[in-house]
Amino acid sequence: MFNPLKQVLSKLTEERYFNLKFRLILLNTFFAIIPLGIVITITYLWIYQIVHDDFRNNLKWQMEETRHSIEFFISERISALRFVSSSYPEEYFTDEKKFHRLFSDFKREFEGIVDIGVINSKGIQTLYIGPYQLTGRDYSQAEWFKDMAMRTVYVTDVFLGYRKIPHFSIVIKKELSSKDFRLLRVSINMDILQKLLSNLEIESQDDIFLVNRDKILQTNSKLFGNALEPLKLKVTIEDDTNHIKIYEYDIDRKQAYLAYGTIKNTPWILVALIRSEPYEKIPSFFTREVTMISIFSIALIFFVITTSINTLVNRVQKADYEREIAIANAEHADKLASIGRLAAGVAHEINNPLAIINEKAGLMKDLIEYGDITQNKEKFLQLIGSIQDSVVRCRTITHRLLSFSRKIDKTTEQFQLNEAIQEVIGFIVKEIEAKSINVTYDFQDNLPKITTDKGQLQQVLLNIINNAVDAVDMGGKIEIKTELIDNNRIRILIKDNGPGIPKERLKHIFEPFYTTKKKGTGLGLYISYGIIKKLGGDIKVSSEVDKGTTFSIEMPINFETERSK
Amino acid sequence: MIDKPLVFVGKIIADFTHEINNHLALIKESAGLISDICKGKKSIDKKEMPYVVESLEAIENQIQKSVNFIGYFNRFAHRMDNLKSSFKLSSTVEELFELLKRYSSRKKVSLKYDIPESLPDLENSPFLLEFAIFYAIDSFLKKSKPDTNITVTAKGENGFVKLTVKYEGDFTESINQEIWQISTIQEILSLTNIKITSNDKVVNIEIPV
Amino acid sequence: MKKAKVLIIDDEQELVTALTERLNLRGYDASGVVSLSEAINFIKQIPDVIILDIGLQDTDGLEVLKRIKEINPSIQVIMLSGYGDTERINKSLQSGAFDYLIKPVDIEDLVSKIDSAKLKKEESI
Repeated sequence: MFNPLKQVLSKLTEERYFNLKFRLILLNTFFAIIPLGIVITITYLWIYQIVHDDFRNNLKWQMEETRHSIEFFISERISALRFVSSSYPEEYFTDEKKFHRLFSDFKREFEGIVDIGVINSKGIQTLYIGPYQLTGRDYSQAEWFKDMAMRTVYVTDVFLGYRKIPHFSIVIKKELSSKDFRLLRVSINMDILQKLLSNLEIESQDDIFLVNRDKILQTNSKLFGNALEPLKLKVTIEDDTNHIKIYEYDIDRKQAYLAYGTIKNTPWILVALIRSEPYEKIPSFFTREVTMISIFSIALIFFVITTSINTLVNRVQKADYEREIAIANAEHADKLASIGRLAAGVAHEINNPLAIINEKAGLMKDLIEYGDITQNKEKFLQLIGSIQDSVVRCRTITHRLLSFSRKIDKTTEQFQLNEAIQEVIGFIVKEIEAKSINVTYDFQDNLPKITTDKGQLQQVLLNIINNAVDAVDMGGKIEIKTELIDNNRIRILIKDNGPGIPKERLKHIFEPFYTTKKKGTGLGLYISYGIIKKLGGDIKVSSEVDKGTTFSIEMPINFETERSK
Repeated sequence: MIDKPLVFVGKIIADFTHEINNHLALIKESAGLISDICKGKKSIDKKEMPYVVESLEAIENQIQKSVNFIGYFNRFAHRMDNLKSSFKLSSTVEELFELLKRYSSRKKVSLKYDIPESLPDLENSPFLLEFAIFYAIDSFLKKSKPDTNITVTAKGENGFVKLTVKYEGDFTESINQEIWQISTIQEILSLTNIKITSNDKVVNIEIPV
Repeated sequence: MKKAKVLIIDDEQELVTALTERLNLRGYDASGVVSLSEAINFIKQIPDVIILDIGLQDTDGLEVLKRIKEINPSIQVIMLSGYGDTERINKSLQSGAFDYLIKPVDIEDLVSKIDSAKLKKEESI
């Protein structure tokens, strides 16, 4: 009887507790990881920002440096040429020997000068010193010459010119008279610009170059063509900005930075494109470390949560199990106690006829002692008859007790429900009579025999009828009704006219440990409920304050077949 | 788990009713004798009077015995009321032995006990203790030979009452009844703090005071 | 000393008649009733001793005891009880019962208790 219960319990509970554990672990881990995730994300974004800012500042600074060095390079030469042009006597610009000396001095002081020339106001190169034969060359149609009408200093774009080598020129104008002027022109190879650019530290994927305002490359670009080719990069470059500008730029779906700045006194714009993502180095380092720490933390969190929840749920499970066992034990204790009470009550009943026998036998002895025996023969026979009747009475009681003892450890049997109810009433007839309770029966006569655990059903009925007996006042009424619901079910109604149960109490009535009685353990109805459910039946209660309470028990006619379904 | 105690209760009730029925049979016989003496005569012969008185005294004696026996049974039945109560070991053993007399005498085994009155009262389940003792006696009776003894002795020992159920005699080879496993009994007794151990012809029961 | 006037209240008719007769044989003025309504008439005649079954069917013996004591506290009541009904025995003793006897009673015990109950009643008057 106990083992199947144990099995069902353990099966049920294992699944239930596993689910509970699973959910708790998941939920706890999830909520423990959320703050970790937030911290990691914030830190990542923060570090990302710092690294990027740092990178931009560094880039800006390097660009400034490079721009500065180019500007310095150009302005140094411009100043020197200006000085030469304005302060050297005029013969230095007409006499080839002197001009040669001037050039040698100049070239010694300033790196990168390829050649030098003097061009008169008509555009004819009157003097030239350099590796090429350019004396007498007419520049009157050259763009730069035309521009010189408006200016005193001019730094040209890089161009091939007559020499077919990319170079640029610095031209200084000297007004000789109101209509006459002379131009001093030096050529510098583009290489020197390239060299200046290489001061900027860049990775192999990165690029730095000069373009003019028409986006013609002025130096060789690694990625976007050689000098004098148009820039193969779609980019808008704002003109004449003194600051270095830095943009984020997507190139081949890869993040890059584009930085540029104009170079003073020249037509050039310094452009750098950084694709090497040096700022990625720290985040990736960060990512690796943080991932390691995160994985470790999550593992730790998971471990701690799993262990603690495991312990917790196991403890809950154990407590629940112990409680169920305690209830099962209480149920057993209850059963034993009711068996004991019934047995004691029945045995007690034997005392009455025994007392009668005792008195009759005593009276007969008295008659022999005190009276005239010869006259008392009839009386004797009458007394003996009475003794024999009492013996019969005793026997009916012992017979009842014997059949009870045989049934004690049996479970299901087939019996008449109405008779079983009468038997229950028989057990507590004393209590009923003591309170002058009027018990009425409304039994359906043609009820089929019911197959179930008679002892347990009787235990429940006894419990409920006992409650009714306790509930009603002296002279109260208890009505017991049986009826067939359908082919498979029988209903038993037990109605009393006691004080009734208020609604708020009614809903707790089948809960364990609930009691309204001062002495009760509160297990009665809870156990009754469990028993009826176990027997495939149902138990309901309805009550109205001051009117009474009705218990309705529905039982399957055949518990075995009902169960096998 | 409850089935074994129920078997025990069932056996006690069955034996009790049989015993009472025996008593009733005796009463009935005595009454029958008186009835026979009276019937068919105008008056009772003085010579037969001693038989009548004797029979009436037999009835009265029997009634007294029955009442005492019912008393024991009643006490036993109320042992099931609570799983914990205060009780005297000697009184539980006394009533159990009275109720088991029929069982043991059928097996021709004499039950004896010697429980010192000085033992402290126990706070435990008297029913389960009786069940434990019943188990011990029952396991011996199921394989006992006639004209043997089972004795129950008890002594107090540092916080425990130690009860010894001892079988004196040989066991029969032909056992036709299931003897319960001690482990089952131990499991049932785990509801209380009563400990039970057994070896061959001795069962020891330990109850904390 | 005059033998006591005794009333026996028990719902077992057979027992009541046998006991009444046995007491009468011993010289007591005994009468017996099986119900409370009958008993009332007899109580009015003020018996010395009432023998009262504790487990009456129609009323609780304890209630009857209390009512007897209300009507006339000098009436001594001896309770008859079944085995093991210690709770109700104690209650009845608290409620003023003279003594109690366990069924089935030994007639000699009963007689001696009736005599001492009568003595007590006379002392109390």
